[in-house]
Formats: sequence, structure tokens, C-alpha cells
Amino acid sequence: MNRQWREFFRSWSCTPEYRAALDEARSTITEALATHRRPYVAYSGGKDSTILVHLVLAQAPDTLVLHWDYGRSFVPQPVFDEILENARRLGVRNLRIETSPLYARLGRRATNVLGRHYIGRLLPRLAQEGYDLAFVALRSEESVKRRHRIAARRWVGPIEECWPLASWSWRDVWAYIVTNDLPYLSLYDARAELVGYHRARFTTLFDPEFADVGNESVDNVLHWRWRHDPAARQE
Amino acid sequence: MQPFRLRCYLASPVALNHPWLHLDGVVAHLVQMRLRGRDYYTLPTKVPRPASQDFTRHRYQHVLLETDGLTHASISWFHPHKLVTVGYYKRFEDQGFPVHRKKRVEIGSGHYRSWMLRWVVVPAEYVDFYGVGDLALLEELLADLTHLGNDTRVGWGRVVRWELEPLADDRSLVWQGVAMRPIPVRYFASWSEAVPLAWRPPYWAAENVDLCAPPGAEVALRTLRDGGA
Repeated sequence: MNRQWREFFRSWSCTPEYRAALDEARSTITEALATHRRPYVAYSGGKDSTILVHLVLAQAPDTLVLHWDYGRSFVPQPVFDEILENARRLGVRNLRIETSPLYARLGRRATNVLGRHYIGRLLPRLAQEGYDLAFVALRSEESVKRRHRIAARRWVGPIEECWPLASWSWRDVWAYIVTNDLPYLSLYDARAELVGYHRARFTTLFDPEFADVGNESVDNVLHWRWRHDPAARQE
Repeated sequence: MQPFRLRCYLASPVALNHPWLHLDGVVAHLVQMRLRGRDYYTLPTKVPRPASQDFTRHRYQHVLLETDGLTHASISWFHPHKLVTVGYYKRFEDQGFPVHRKKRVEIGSGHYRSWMLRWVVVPAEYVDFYGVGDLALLEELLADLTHLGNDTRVGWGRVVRWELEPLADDRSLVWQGVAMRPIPVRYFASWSEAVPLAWRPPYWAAENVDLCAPPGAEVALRTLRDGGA
């Protein structure tokens, strides 16, 4: 991130809008921790979940941080290593990584695995283990679908979800990262150069499920080194 | 065979689906257009045609020099090189469309569905390619070159004019110690970086992917033998 953007986000962190969003997130987390026995934080490695991990661990350092691994077809090894390194730098003590064997078996043809294996199998298992709350870094600003989900308080699995960043804007997100000097994936800076920080998102790479929103061309140009990654081949 | 620089001046940004274009890919496209005419557009897609089914002998066979299986053709070098993205929508237009039996056209899915597209484009003033080849034949083929890159049907990559300039030295494979195109590492004595990349046309075919030094990598070529692979 260049100096100009850093200064912009630092300035934004002084605004009353940012202070209000931060206070609201902190109090939501405090309340959720007080009313639930066994919460966990969903951590994708993206900017939003990075902030959420930081905010939750500041109040409950031993909280489980759950990472769903999409496999090397969609998250190349260097990116995966960076995700784990960032978790370490955030001070995560209790990291749990889950995945599906379908990613290795089907390579980039593995579609709807999240629905079948994460929501369909893992979340019920976590509920059985006693987890009663999931901190998820969902933001209304990200999409209409998410805005509706938050408004309707609709969870994807059997475990109650808490969205402390629901009302955060992209400026709030980057302001928190910059002012707290949090580690974030280097992919963001490359993408932001092309699409701007307001639209830079971390999604699975070369994923046919994102082709219809135009990610294919961006991935092919920005991440060409991984286009034919041998690790992405199916078994 | 003469080393050359091909400079194409652009009237609109070039849409990319890869960080660069390949000169031998562009030439192969122009050759196929000449040989097949309109039939070129009805070829099966996604599957490379076996060489036996293709035109094996034609006058454009040696437009570009080939040494030891490597075609002397660089990738594109855009000036200036600044990438941007553009989002646009592809929608069915009913103007001039024959009246359907049901008088309804499905735009949510199927053949006429609407698409949100996002392309990476280079708003360059001109693009340079380097190669070694038969300039007379190349000029003949370049007469058909109207656009470069992807999605040319909507106007991206319009070529307004091109210049073919003979050069004293060959800059198509390696120039000043730097790879000018993807080249399999087996051709090198040393290389600074290796990435799996397609290195010969068609560049979309998985069978043409090999471990290559990408353009820009510092390399030292082994001595190449004359003749095809």
C-alpha cells in the first residue's frame, strides 16, 4: 500500500463514523462473549476476518480460530502459507484447519464443496462439539445478498452467527488494518492497483464459481504464475 | 529470414486474458484465417486439432523462423504498460431478432443470458513485437490484422496501423540476457525463474504447457540447432 492510501486511511480512522463502527463492534463482541459458552472465529485469511480475529482475541485470547482450507487448486501454496503466517502474527493460539478431500480429488472442478462439506458436515459437527456461536466477518456493504442475510439474521448452519463488522465500510476496514499495523495478504495490494481498495477482495483463485463476476480475466492476468500450477491438478 | 520489430498503433485498449499476447499466436490466427476463410469460425473449440488434420503444406508455413522447435517470435510489449479493469454488461438485444414462437426470450440463463463482464485492459498507445521471419509474407498476412487481444467484437484492441521495421539483431527469444517470450527451461543453461506456461500455439491448449522461463527472466540460452522440432 502506498503512502497516499495509508495517509487516507489514517485520516479516516479519526472520523466519528469510524470510532462509532469500532465501538459498536467491540461492544457486540463483549456481549456475545458474555452470553455464549463456546464461541469460535471464522478466519478465511481475508482482510475482514483478519480484523475480526484481532478484535475477538483482544477480549478472549484463547478463542478457537477456524480456517477452511480450499486446497491448493484455489489457494496456491504461497498464499496459504501467508494466511497461516498472518494468523501467527495476529497471536492466534488455537488455530484449527479443516478441509474437504474433494479439493485434492477434483482440482478446479470442485464446485459447491463449501455448501456440502463446510455447511453440510463441518458446522453440524462443531455444534455437536459444543460450539454455540460463530463470529463471522460478514459486512452488509459487500453484496445485496449479504445485506439481506444480515437484515434477516439468517445463519448458514446450525450455529448462531455474530457479525460485529456488519455495518463497517471498506474505509473502516482498511483504517483498522493501517492504524493497528495488522498483517494482510499481499494479493490485496496487487488487486487494489487494478480495481481499487474499495473493490479489492480475497476470493479463491481460478474458481469457476466466480467466473460470472469477471474474476477469471483478473486472475489470469494478475496470478498467471499459478494458472498452470502443478499443485492445482486433480488426482 | 530477417529480424524485425512489428509496431501496432492502437485506437482502443487491448482486452487481455493473460498478461501478454504472443506474436506466433497472432500469426497462426492470421494464417488460419487465410487458409480456411469463414470456415475458421466453425472449427471445434476447446480441443486442439491434430496436425494430420491440418494444412501441412502451405505458403505461410515459414513466415516465422523456427530453430530447434522454438519460434522466433516475442510476446507483446505495450507502451505505456498500465493495466486497468473495466466492467460492462452483455445483454440480448431484440432489435432485428425474428419473432419467437413464445414471444419471449430467456435472458436469465441459456444462450441469450445477460452477463456481467470484467476485463483487464491495457490502454496502450502502441504495442511492439519482435521476431525473425519472411517480411514479404508477413506484410501480406498483416493486411488482415484489424484487432488484437480478447473480445475484439466489442471494439477492444483496434489496430489503426502497423509498421514493420527490419532490425540488425534478433530480439525475439532472448535479448540483453532476458527472455522475450516463454521458453522451456530445457533450452537454457541457466535461468532465474521457472513457471509452468504454454510456449507454442495454441496457447490455450494444456498440452502445450511446459516448465518455462517467463518473459523478463534472466536466462542463458544453450546453442540451438537449426530446423524444426
